[in-house]
Amino acid sequence: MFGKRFTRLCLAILLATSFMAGCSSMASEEDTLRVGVAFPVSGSLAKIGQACTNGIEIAKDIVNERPHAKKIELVKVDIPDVTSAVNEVNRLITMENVKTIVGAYGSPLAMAASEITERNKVILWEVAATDPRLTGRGYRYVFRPNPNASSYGPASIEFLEKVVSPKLGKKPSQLRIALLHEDGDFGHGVSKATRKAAQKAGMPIIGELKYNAKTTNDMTSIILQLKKWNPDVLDVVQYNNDAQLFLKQAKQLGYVPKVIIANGAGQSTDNFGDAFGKDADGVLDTSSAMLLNTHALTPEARQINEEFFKRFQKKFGKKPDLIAKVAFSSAYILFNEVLQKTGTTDPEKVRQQALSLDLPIGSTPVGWGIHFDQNGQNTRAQMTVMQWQNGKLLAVYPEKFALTKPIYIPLPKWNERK
Amino acid sequence: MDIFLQLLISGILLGGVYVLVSIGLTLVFGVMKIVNFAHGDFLMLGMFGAFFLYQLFGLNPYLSLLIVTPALFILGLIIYKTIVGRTISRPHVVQIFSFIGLSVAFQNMALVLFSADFRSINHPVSTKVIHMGPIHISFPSFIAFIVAGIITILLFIFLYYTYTGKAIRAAAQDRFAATLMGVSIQKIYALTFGIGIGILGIAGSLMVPIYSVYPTVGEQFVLIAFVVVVLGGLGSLPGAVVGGLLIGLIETMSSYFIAPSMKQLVYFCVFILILILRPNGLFGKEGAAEEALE
Repeated sequence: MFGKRFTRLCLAILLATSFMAGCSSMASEEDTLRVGVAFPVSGSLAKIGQACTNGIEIAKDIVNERPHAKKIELVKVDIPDVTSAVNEVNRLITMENVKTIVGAYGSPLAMAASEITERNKVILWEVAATDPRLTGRGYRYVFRPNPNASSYGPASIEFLEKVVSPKLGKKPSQLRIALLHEDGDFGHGVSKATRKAAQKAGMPIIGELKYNAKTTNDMTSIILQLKKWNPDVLDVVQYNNDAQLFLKQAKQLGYVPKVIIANGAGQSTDNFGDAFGKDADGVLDTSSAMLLNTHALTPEARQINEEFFKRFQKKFGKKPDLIAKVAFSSAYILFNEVLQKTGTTDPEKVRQQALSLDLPIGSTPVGWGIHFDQNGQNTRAQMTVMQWQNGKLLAVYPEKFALTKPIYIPLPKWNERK
Repeated sequence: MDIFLQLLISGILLGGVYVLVSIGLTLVFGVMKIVNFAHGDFLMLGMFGAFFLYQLFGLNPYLSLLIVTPALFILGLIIYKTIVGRTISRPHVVQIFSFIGLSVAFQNMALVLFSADFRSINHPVSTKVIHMGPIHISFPSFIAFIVAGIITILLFIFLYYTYTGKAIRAAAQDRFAATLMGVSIQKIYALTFGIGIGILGIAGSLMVPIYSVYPTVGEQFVLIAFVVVVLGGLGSLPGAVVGGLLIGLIETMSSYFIAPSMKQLVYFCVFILILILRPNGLFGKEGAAEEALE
């Protein structure tokens, strides 16, 4: 309709603007620190990918608004699947000339991205993926402030041993546990570590059920199996839709074990609370802490924590969820403790600075300390056990982080709830 | 025995949901010989419609059906006029990619407008149960099952006993002969597509109390819908019903008696077996697939 001339004009404008954009980024390389941000912000992982990106935005804002700060500039890309993760990370490195990348949330995405970053000697600062293999391959340039999948299990089992078994009046060796998890890397990784920790604590695992989260539209058979086993504790690893379907159908079928303890993901998002309201009360969730007792934090972490909540609400018009806070906390460490000190995103210098970090537990808004081992895994990522109470996910263990005491142990039957 | 009965009932109820999702697909396929890859995304729109009517106006999802269904019917007509009708006589590659494009567009539109949250309605009806002795029957699934039955029967009556219905079947059997007899193919196709999508409005409203809604929820159901439709026979209503119930039953039974992660393996084995024995599906007419893929 517009003819060839119009198309050519458009093309010319496009070319010109991209050229100018290229120039300006080259010119500003000296005085701003360009950091790649790669998350799935579309597709089925979008919910958490968007939350991560938002959290990182806030970290950037806080650091940039400080006087004399070296400005951080974010170059954001969308990586909804493994193919695009490879392509976009490649593009960040070769076209955008980025030397430090924050990513990637999905474990398969992070694994794929890390291959590219390592080969190009670029830093991958992973803030959400939990696959233990990510930091288990001796890569030089991968750093992960958050705990890996194998730290959920021991934390859950410790809570069961120290808090649940005395409350139920049973010895740990009498606490019968059933595992229920989605059959992806995350589910397998977490439950493997849980099994190991339970064995160590002498707790019997009486059964394990796994299912595919993307194709499961009915959980009756799973719930009936659990009814038959009748475990004291149900230890679950679930994503969003399956976590919601499970609890809904458990209620319909009148099933409730004495304790439900989840490991991050599905039970950690605000959607879980919204979907169930008071019915979610009593569900335990081991993960990084959302709402914790800020007295356990250092004064600086406490102040950053408050600022984060205030700014997030203002910028995005809603409350942050857990994963946004975790991403924020880890990105803040990178921006403030690493990049401000090095003054450059040069991977060798960033690596040296990151390895030299030695922050005690309580120095981040999520309560962790920071100390990386040679593989880039943070060894001070403290897990917290939280519980849904009155529609809020509150820290209940360890005690110094606890906001409140655990309730509903054992869980009441569905018809005996208020 | 109780367990077996419970599994049987849950399997049939799950099958009811699959039937609801599949009827529209099989109708559109049978009549127009096009494969709607955006089927799951229309379902997603239907579910979001019902969800927001509840969230914003407190409308019972079973009442919102009366709004969502016509809305999706009209959306179906619009999509037909703007996209499907223009590609129907083109090569299949064109049709396939226009639907895939539509699917990507819908998903990302939902992502922008509704965010990637996993939402459920927190309404007492969603966890309501009917007790029959030791058996628990999920109320929303039961309603979905009953409505699936009613829809199928109504659609059957419509197709076999009304003039328009007969015209639709005529168009399905022989496009050119029907045109020669004075049937307006374009109108019939538009109507069929509208009905096929409209039924997803019913499905969406009935599924909102059961499942959580998110932009890619369609992917959770669309593969199953294709399995059901091919298993039952392309374009066959009774096929969709039997196929849906069969898959629902196989899923629940195999995930209890074998393992939850094995259920897909089991129903795909059954699927392959049936297609070996009856290449046109359980109720399929010979040549339905060839005609569609010519």
